[in-house]
Amino acid sequence: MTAILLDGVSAHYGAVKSLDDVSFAVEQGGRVGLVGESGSGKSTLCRLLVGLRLPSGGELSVFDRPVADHLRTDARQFRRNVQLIMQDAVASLSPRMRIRSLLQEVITIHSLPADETWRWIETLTARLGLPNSVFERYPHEISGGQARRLAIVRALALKPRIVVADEPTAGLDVSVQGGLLNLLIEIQRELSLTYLMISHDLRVIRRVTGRMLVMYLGQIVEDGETEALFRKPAHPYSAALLSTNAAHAPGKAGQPIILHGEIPSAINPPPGCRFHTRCPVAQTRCKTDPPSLRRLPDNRSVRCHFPYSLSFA
Amino acid sequence: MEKPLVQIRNLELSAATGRGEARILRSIDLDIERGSILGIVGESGSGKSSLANAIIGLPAGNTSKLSGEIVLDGVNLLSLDESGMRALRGSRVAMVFQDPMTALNPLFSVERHLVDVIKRRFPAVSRADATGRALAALEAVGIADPGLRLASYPGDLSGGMRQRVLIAMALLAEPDLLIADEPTTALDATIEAQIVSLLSDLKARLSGSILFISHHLGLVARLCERICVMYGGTVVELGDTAAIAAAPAHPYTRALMACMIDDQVSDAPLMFIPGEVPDPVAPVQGCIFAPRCAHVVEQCLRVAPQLRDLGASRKVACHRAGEIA
Ligand SMILES: Nc1ncnc2c1ncn2[C@@H]1O[C@H](COP(=O)(O)OP(=O)(O)OP(=O)(O)O)[C@@H](O)[C@H]1O
Ligand SMILES: Nc1ncnc2c1ncn2[C@@H]1O[C@H](COP(=O)(O)OP(=O)(O)OP(=O)(O)O)[C@@H](O)[C@H]1O
Ligand SMILES: [Mg+2]
Ligand SMILES: [Mg+2]
Repeated sequence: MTAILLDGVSAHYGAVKSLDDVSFAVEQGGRVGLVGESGSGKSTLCRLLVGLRLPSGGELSVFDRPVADHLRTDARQFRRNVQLIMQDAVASLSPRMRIRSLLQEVITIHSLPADETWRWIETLTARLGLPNSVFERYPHEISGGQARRLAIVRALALKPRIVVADEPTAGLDVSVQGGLLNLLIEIQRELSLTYLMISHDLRVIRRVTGRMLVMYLGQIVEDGETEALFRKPAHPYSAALLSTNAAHAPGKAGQPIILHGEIPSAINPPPGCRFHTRCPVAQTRCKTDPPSLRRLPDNRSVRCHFPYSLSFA
Repeated sequence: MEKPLVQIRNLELSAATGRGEARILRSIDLDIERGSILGIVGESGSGKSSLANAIIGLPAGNTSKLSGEIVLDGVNLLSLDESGMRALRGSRVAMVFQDPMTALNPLFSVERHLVDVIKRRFPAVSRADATGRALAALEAVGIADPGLRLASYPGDLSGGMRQRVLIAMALLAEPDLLIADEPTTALDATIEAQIVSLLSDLKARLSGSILFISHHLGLVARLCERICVMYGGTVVELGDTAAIAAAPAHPYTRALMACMIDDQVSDAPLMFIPGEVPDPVAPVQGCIFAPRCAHVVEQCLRVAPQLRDLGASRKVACHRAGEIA
């Protein structure tokens, strides 16, 4: 079954075109990573997927039905099946309730079996390395990383079918992060969940996802198998992005590809290829002729006239 | 040697909770040298943000005890009253908070946030000049369309943009001490590199000091001369970054470093430190890391280790440091 399907989706906030002509599909049980520059539209995409916003154009379906349809006929079930772990974890916990009540509220809203769900919540909490005493605290009595883990517990408590995780490991130290990612993978296998995970930490994306999407200025510029993409990116922006990862790897002398040129405006995106103003290998055609996302023979889609023309050592 | 910019001595911080008193910081001793960048790393919940908030004079509302000394250039900040502290904040000391949305006022535009900082720090600056500086600061942190973004409100910005607005505010304040609490968590590698070089510039240009809190060990290693490792509200190790990276002395530091994800793709589960962080309300006997330590001996359960010298420029709080190296 197709869990997520986008076809030519756009989302505008006033003059800002946060998403423009975004298309991709995710099969059920897939673990997909989403990476891209700050402001490229990743969180906007998340909000569309969970129905917090409707697209300005294009088609967006979840489990083969338009999201608008789900919201009209059975919003509650949809909200339970499709969970968003928000980027702003602390702000997503309401300040006047103890953590216990916050979590119990989730059980009540969705009329879940109370005892069974609470046991599941306790299991999750323990596996994320949080002490049981955390239930008695208020949100201001917990640290940033604890809040982030609780947001994850809250999302998984519902045993959803799709989890959209916006920077789930941001601000977590590596010792906690490892346990968290193991848990996410185990639960994904157990429940055959579909994951869409955003992270600026490319090592996390590489470890956890099987496929990845690269965004630039509101568009998907590359879509392919994670490992293959890391080894040999086709789009010059992907190459530049992944080169920073290669350069950080211990014992490797790889040089990051530094992008020059002005960061383009989301209000007036450059004509032609949106990346041409910073692309080290742009040609004349790129300045006027916008490339479309096209499929290459190697199971890769890329939005570039000259794929594989930029590589890193 | 010149006296450190900040000397923290025997800092204790507790907070009242429904479950009893939470001991959040336990007898912290720490120096921040002039013109240096000190990195703070440590497990989530170890007290990093609480330490930062104490220095900037914004401890949580339920704080029940705040004692010891935080001396900045001869002045004990803990003895200042609220107006004295407010005068320091945003001028001599500035902070980039961990949670951008709670640190920005949703009702104020980006311009208002930035201009307010400039006006407080440099009252003589004209309005037009302040707007010009605000614009330049947004550009410096890599925000596109800075002119248009001045008119935006925090809710209209992406997570990474909010974080960069906070950084721009801190840079505009030109503080002697900049505290940056996880300042790059929402930023991609390219922008992160840009911010890191801005911070290094700030240090060089203003000879200010930076307290850089981050869970990103690679970043800390690149930016900071010295690092302080925290666990359970205490400092467990302190020393030169290169020396600690080469040979971590405290068992917690070692366990932490062992968890770094390397570039190897494998199907083995990721490493993590099993067990839980100590609950700040629970009483502690002996070493606070003992329940999770691989090298624990009987003494560790009885006596809390003091932070002691290990060579000339390293300190470690472990009974068995040296022995287990
Ligand atoms: N509520 C809103 N009102 C107006 N503009 C918005 C709103 N939310 C997002 N935007 C704009 O949409 C664009 C994409 O933002 P989005 O939050 O999706 O980026 P992102 O890829 O998640 O970035 P980051 O990595 O920094 O979190 C940005 O230009 C942002 O300013
Ligand atoms: N106001 C408070 N009242 C009671 N407990 C608190 C309060 N603030 C923090 N704590 C607790 O004190 C400990 C330290 O919290 P702090 O936010 O300083 O950690 P941190 O090191 O910044 O963690 P993170 O890396 O997750 O941001 C945590 O166990 C937290 O739950
Ligand atoms: Mg975002
Ligand atoms: Mg913190």
